[in-house]
Amino acid sequence: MLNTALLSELEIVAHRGAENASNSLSGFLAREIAIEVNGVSMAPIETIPEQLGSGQTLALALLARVAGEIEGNAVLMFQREDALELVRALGSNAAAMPVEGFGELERSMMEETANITISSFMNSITFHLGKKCVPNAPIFMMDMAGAVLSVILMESAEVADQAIVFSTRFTCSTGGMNALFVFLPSPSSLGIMEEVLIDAD
Amino acid sequence: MLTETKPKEIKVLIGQISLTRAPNLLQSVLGSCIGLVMYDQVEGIGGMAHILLPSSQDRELGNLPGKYADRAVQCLYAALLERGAAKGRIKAKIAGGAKMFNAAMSYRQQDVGLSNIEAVRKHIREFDIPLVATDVGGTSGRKIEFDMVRYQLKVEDFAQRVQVI
Repeated sequence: MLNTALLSELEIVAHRGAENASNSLSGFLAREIAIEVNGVSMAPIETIPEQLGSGQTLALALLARVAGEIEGNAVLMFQREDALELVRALGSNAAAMPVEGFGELERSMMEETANITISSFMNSITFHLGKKCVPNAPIFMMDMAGAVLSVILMESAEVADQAIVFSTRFTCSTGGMNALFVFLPSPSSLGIMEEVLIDAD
Repeated sequence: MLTETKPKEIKVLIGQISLTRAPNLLQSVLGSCIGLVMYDQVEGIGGMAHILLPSSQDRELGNLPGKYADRAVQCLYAALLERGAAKGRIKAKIAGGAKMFNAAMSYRQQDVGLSNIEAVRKHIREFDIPLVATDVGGTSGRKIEFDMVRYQLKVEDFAQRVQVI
């Protein structure tokens, strides 16, 4: 179990990761993207989907497996309107298109956005902790938020009733395009993070 | 004067098991997970388990008795018997077990949804419980709601396609 001091140190690392990701996103989308909420928390597995949003809300999610010395699962999630706003900003003609009708181009736009966000976050973690973590290419999913989040909880749930969650809400200053980023390190990776932070003290 | 009792909506979160009586509703949102419902219509009691993984591999259960298929079936069945349900009258329905992502995403490179379906079916058979309705597999998540008045399980996907089993 993480103590409060270690959790605070992880929050600092997570904040740097979120800053790096928001800078990359701002550059990619040519819009100012800010961090609305950022945090690291240890929470009971069963409460995490509800804590991150309504379980049955439609979510457009990009999931990426993170491999390396620190491994786990990352996801970037959008609600319907935010996803539409995002692909329009990237040049899609999806003005009248429902998200259910997203084609290859729109999916690719979202995958690229997630790739940039997740890679920037993980690069920052690698830099600050000195441990390699490399995300695989994100996979597009459209489903209920609770169903998506249960997928990334499995690895932690197998060995524990609690999991550590890195979560960041990004917001666009000109409206729309809000997104939720979540990273769940594997239980063994959490131990590695703890060791690094304790050694650094 | 007659008073109408408003059904209580009970959310069954990951790994939880909840028991209730009519007219309440048991609800859950599932991806690769399985929603297992067992009920005894004569006694008027039913329960739902939100199963996340196929096997406990003898791990301790902690606070989530419904987390693993092997233990969830056992715990839900025992809890119903304890509260007056009779062995020969208990029936089961299951939903969920979607393949939510391809194998490359999985840390175990396997289809957890399919493993969950197989494990739940196997353990239900071990207790000789009739499995009277199923809506499993596919590639979409499901919202489920078990109605303790009609003993029906409503299954809805993200595109709001509804079926009652």
